[in-house]
Amino acid sequence: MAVTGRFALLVALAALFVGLLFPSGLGVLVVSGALVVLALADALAAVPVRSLRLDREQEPGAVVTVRLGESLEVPLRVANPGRRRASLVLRDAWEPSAGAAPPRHRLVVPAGERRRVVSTLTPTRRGDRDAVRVTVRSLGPLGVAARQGRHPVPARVRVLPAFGSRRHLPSRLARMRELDGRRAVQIRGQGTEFDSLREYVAGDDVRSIDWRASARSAELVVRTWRPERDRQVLVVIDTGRSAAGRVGDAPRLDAALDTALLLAALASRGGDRVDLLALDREVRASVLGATAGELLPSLVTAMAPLEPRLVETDMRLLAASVLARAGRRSLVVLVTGLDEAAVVEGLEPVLGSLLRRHTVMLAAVADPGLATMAAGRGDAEAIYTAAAAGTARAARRGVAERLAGRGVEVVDAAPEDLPPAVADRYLALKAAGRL
Amino acid sequence: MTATPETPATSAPAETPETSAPRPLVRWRGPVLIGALVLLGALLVAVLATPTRTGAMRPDSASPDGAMALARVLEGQGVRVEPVTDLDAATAAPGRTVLVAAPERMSTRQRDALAASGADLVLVRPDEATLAALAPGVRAEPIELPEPVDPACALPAALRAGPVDLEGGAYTLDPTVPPGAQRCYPTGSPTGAASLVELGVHGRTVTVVGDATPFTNDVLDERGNAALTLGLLGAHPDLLWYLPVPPPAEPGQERGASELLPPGWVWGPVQLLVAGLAVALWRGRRLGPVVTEDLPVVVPAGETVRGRARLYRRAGARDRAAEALRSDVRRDLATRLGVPRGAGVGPLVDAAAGRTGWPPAAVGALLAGPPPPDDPSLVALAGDLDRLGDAVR
Repeated sequence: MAVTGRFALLVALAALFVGLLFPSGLGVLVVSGALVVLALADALAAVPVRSLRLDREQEPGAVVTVRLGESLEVPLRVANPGRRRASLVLRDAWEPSAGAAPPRHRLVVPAGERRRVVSTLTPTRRGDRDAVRVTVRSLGPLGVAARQGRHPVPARVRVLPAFGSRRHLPSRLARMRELDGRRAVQIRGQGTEFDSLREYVAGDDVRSIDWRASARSAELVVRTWRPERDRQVLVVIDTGRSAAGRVGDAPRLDAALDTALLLAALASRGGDRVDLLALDREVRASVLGATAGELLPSLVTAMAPLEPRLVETDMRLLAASVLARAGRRSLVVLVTGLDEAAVVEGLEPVLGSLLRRHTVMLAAVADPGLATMAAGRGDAEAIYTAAAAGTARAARRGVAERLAGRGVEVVDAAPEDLPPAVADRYLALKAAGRL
Repeated sequence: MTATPETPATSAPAETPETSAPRPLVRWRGPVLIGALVLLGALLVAVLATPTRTGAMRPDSASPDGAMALARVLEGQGVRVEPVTDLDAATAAPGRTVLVAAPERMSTRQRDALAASGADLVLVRPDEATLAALAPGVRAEPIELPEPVDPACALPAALRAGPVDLEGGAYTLDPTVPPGAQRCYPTGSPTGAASLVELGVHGRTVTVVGDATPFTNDVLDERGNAALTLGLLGAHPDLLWYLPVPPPAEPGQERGASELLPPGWVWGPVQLLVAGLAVALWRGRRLGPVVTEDLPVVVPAGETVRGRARLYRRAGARDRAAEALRSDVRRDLATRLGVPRGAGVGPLVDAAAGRTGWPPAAVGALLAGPPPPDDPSLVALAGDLDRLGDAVR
């Protein structure tokens, strides 16, 4: 039961009636009572909310996906099986960060017919967003009062990571093709594989002449080698405490996901196999053995519900998971933090086991605000802040240097610079045949 | 004045995001409309409920509908005119004339007092209650007299006056009225209604005049108006010009402003309060409950750094702060000047002094001196380190 503005207007106009014709307490009672009875009758005459049939146009349980920053139209169908015309106001309520608009719909569903309203979702956050309920207000024939009720009409929208670093992909792909075409490695070495035989041309290394093939041919034949393909890349995303820190407007985790996506897109085009692991104290997401075609979709789907948690990441679990999942020699890309304590107590003890079998790259999201704070001058407070920022930077640098000393490739960059930086480091490793 | 204050270039224009929500103008259209309607209604009530009051028939009013001329003429004739606003039976003694200029304004008590008195009465267009109390047997007729007519009665004053401007009410007499009553200026209706009636009631003369027009300054000098009114009012040397004003309330019976207001002014707003309740119901009913959502934790990444800065400051840790700043600059300079990392401060100071031309002692104090003694010198040290870095660059 709800009253409308029309009811309020009627009650206000009744003041004229009471004031001019019926100026007494009884008049107020009689007039107001009559209007209340009118409203009740109107509400009773409204189409019952329960008799309406509401559904989405899709299978229940189907999940629609939308990329963060884009919009999605979500239909809702309202069927009125009764014999009266239903005049409705309804609100398709989603979780707030789903960004549903408009807040309410007005529609009229004639008897026995069905109408469709469309809400536009513009999600503001990654993850799964649910439709909570549809609240329906069914107005009476006079439009004075309404019945109100709700229908659960479940629906779920999966908001995928924005993948803003997509714009870096073409340039990195071009560089990778250059790498392939250059055939930089004519001598056999680690990380290269046999490519083809071709005729000797002046300038080729005589050591690469394949004498056996030359004997079968009229010409001298050399072997060529190319950077190894079909290498294994395992991206490990730390969703623990270090990923929760907000740099600029987004948590570090968002930059980490962006980094993983760009690297995965690049590596899968380069013929490498990419796996993903996201964990803190337990494994939160894992994509293993996806083929190149379905890699990106399955990655973004797995990433969508990831949220940072305020727990210390279990590095032993991380090492164990990596060792269990990556059988052959792989490039293990750890996207985590460079906090001194976490690295010293968590990562360093298990680093040895990883480095024995794999190439390890550590990508960390730096805070550009630190540089701003370190450059702060003026009053004593700014100087103290600058000193603290300087200390923090020095500690970070120290950790990075120590890890690099142990053979870890460390990439420390601001959120928007991290994805291309990691991609570049990957290309460099690939060119050097170190995958 | 040459310089005008410049607006800071960094101030970005405030952006107002376009939203799909209706603009306030549209959203508040309904309530504003309702408010306007209610105001209009209140105005209407005010206009309709306000009775029109004029200063008519006052013996001291020179306006066209006043009666100052008549009062002056009466005084000139030797009649003592005494304006009164309240009367008791003793004042209105027999042998006096009481002109009741506005009978409808008499309270019940005043009417009773007048009825108990013995004075002759001239009632100007009395209402039903006054007629019943003071001139029993006379009844008002809803007939307007057309044009001035002859008196057609034996009343001396009327006979002297001839046609007058009597255009107001007309009266009939019940059969119970004792004979001798005079009906003047008949309207010609079959009921025998007349505009002026004189009758004896309990030993006194009561004259009922259907219209106040002949008394007014405006037309006193026309037709027989003056003759009629002077004849009616000048019968006795004492004339009480009675313009009733309700007496002040007895102590303890005073009424508040709300009681004096017409009831419409009280109960209309009460109904408006009810309307306010209805508006509250209308606006207050939500279309479904508020939807909640678990939001992820948000930790600004620079929080620990700021916390440490505050700790430094509170502890006055100038030594640590200065060392942090110095080591930053030392590292920077070592990279730029090509001094090996592990070489120590000495070679770095020499290289920096050689590049900048600053005295080596000053550079040494800057890069590895004692901690500053107070905050201002810490600030100064930071500035000097910056200058050194710039000079090397």
